[in-house]
Amino acid sequence: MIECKTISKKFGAFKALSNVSFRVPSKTCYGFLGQNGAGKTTILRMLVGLLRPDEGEILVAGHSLRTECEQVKGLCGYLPQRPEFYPWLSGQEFLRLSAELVGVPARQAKNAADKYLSIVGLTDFTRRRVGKYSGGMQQRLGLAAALIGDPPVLLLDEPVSALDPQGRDEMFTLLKKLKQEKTIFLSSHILHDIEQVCDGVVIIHKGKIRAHGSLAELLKQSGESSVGAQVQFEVDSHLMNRLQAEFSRAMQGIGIPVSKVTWQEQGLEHYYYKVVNQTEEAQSQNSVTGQGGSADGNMAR
Amino acid sequence: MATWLAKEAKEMVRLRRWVPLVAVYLFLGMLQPITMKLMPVILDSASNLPKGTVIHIPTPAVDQVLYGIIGQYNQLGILALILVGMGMIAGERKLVGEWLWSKPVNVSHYVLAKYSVFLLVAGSSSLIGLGLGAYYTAQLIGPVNWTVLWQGALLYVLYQAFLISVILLASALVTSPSLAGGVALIIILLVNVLLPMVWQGHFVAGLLELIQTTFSQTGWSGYMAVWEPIVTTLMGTALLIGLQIPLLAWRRMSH
Repeated sequence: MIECKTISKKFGAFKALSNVSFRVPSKTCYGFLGQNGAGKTTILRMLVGLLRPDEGEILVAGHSLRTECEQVKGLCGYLPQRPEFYPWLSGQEFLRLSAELVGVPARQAKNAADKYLSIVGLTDFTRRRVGKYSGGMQQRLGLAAALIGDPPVLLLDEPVSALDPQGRDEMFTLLKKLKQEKTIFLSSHILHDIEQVCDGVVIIHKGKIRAHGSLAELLKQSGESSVGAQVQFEVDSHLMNRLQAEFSRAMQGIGIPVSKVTWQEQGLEHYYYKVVNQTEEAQSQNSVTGQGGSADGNMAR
Repeated sequence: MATWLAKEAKEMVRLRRWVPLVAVYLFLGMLQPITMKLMPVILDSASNLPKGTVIHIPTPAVDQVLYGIIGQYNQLGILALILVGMGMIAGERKLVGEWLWSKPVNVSHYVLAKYSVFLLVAGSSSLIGLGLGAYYTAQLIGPVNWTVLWQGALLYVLYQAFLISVILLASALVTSPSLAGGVALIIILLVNVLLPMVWQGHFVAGLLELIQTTFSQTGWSGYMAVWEPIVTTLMGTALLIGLQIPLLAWRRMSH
């Protein structure tokens, strides 16, 4: 679906990309990994026709970017790294404009805008001006703008960088659903995020592709195929030593040597979800009993 | 095209871009006959002349007052046009270029929508301003031939059409709105000051002469046909608009 063949790009004397070749199969989600300045954004911008490679060829759904750039743009939904949109338009107006630009008839554009605002969780902010959206809300709006018109290819440049933990979870749930029917290519610095949602990866370092392919195959090739077990439970700290001895003995009994046991205190993530879940439970109880109360108030208590 | 027209109209209203245009053109239109009528009083009260000095300024002719409005439009009016138009493309590319050019945008619709909305607001403002100016001229100085006034006013709108094409081209040429304003100002100064010296009676210089001739009802004294400045200005305008389309199509790739 996406194919880069020996792409090279120079910015002045700086060689940003050197013989970059990779392929993202149809209806899969591939992660694009690399350090800052490795060339991820350069390639994503090339894929939507914002930059022209000095050498090589890019094909999206069989269309060459060199000769059929406008057709390719119609096939791709793109979320820039720092999405910025018309601040004087409302979220709904902006999405209507996005919809009409990708060929949604004007009559259906409003419904399409409402549908995608709902998908990204911005239903309550349809009439708010984009200039008053937070960074996370702009990122959600950017995703809605990329999705509108139902393009078969999604190119997402760090799509969760401005989102809160809950927003990231929602985004990944959405991407897992979308990859059944779309080709998704997303860049991120966060390996855990990529592992959660992607079928494959492309790893770029200093403008050169270091690895690409399905995640399972790559890990298998590198000998990372054995499974590590992570068991999570809560235990009083004074029982730790006894539990470790019992656990090691039990594992040895079934012939599995224990290489390492790590004790981890419950961190911020656990605490955050605990508080948020408590807040939501309290809110739902309040709404049943007709009492008021804000999320902030509950968190403070 | 309708999508872009609606977007441009919203932008014009919500960013209040129409305000300086309407304010400047209406103000200049009204002010010119009033100041010309009251000039002796103004000079008398403002200057420090000895007692008993008599200032005798003949009441200006109607056509002088009307062309005086055009003269004002050619100074403050042009500055207002540049102020409003310099960021229309340059500012937009800076702000939303990454999103905008990743979409299959029809560049000619994009340019024409910007041009049409800008010309509609600027043209209406100058027409209303000239109408008000003519009304005050009729009240304070003498009868106005309204047919002649609207002929001259429409010729001025054609001149504005040319100015707007210069400003939008400058805005498409560079990415900084202030630099675009500077480039537009330099081009307009060259066209307004240098062109009449070397090519009198032709193109936009001829058009301004034609407006003056229309107001004075003296008949076109140029050696070329009346339509020559009109046609060449129209052609120049079309050329400048046309240049923006390949320029933006090329620049979006290297954005």
